[in-house]
Amino acid sequence: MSPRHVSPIPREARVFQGAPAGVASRCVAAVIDVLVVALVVLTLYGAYTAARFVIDPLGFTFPRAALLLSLSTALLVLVVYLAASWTFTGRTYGCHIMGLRVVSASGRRLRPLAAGVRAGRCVVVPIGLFWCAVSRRRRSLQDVLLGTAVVYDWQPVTPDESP
Amino acid sequence: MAISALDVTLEAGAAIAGVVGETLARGADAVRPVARWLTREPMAPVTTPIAGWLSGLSRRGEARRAALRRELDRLLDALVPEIVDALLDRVDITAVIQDRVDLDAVVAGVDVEAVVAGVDVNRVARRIDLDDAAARLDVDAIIRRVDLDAIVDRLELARLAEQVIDDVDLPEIIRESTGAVASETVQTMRLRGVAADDVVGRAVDRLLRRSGRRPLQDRAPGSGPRPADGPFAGPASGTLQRHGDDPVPP
Repeated sequence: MSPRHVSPIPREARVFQGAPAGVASRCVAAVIDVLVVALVVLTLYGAYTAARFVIDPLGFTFPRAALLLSLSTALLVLVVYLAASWTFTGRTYGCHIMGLRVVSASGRRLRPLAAGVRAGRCVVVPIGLFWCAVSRRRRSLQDVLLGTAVVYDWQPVTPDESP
Repeated sequence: MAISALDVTLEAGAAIAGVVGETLARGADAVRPVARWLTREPMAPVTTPIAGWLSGLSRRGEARRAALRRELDRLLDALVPEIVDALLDRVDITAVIQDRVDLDAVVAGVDVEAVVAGVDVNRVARRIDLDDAAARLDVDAIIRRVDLDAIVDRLELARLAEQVIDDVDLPEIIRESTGAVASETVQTMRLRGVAADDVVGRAVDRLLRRSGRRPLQDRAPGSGPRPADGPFAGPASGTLQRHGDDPVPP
């Protein structure tokens, strides 16, 4: 018999711990992630603007970027943010708020390559997320293609096993 | 030689009684053939009244004998207890039994099993005042004799402590005591997210006319993740642990 330990998970959450997450939780997590990325992009913009001011205060003007450039930057930041989060902790900030975690088919954290591919596909085909509402096992399009899953995980610490 | 009048009288009376008895017996023997001859058929008309008279005498004699017996019985009923009491007052029965009776042999012949089998132990037990017996017990002395260290050694204190902590839900107490509003908000959001997921799932199942989705705690791994170590794996994979069905400790 495995040694008993005190679970930090609230009792009402223990029932679905480890179960696949549904579309509502994942959408909220995605929205939070987008907001985080937007904040990061704004911060980058602010930093760039401040740097320009420091370099040339007299000739300073607010930088104006083309929509494509801004959008590309935001998407790139999003991909990097998602990939890095899934690789190192298995969850983004949005997943952390909603108590979710992205895991591989074996239940472990994603490898960097798999995380990067998944992040790219999530950014390119975000509508694939809504497939989890239809799927019996609550898997999005990206999950089906890569064999990943998003599960409820209220544990405050990440699993010890490395990918 | 001293002559005792009492002894002489007793012996004379016995001798006379002996002579009389002998005479009567010889007389009866002599009369018996004569009586048989007299009562034979030719002599019946003469001897029948005589026989009748003798028969009456016999009946009266028998009645008198019965009356004497009853009188004797009554006399004995009155005298024997008195005589026995007088004897017992003069005799130490206990000493007599001790000297003359083999008590071991008597006891050996007693069927103790049968005696014990006939004893209603429950009735005996009911007569015992347990409260009084318990009041006379020195509980402290009994406890001093108990090896508490051995008992404590047999306890799995760590497991007990974990069970107590889990039963009182110490993590929840800590969360509440720290007063972190944000954590409460997050917890609420998560739970509402789970509820919303379930609602959407059921709605989609109804829309697609699918059989009821199994409850969250019964969801089995799908075809993608391997059942042995999929996202629903337990402690064997070491990654995520299902806490909904923690075993109850012994």
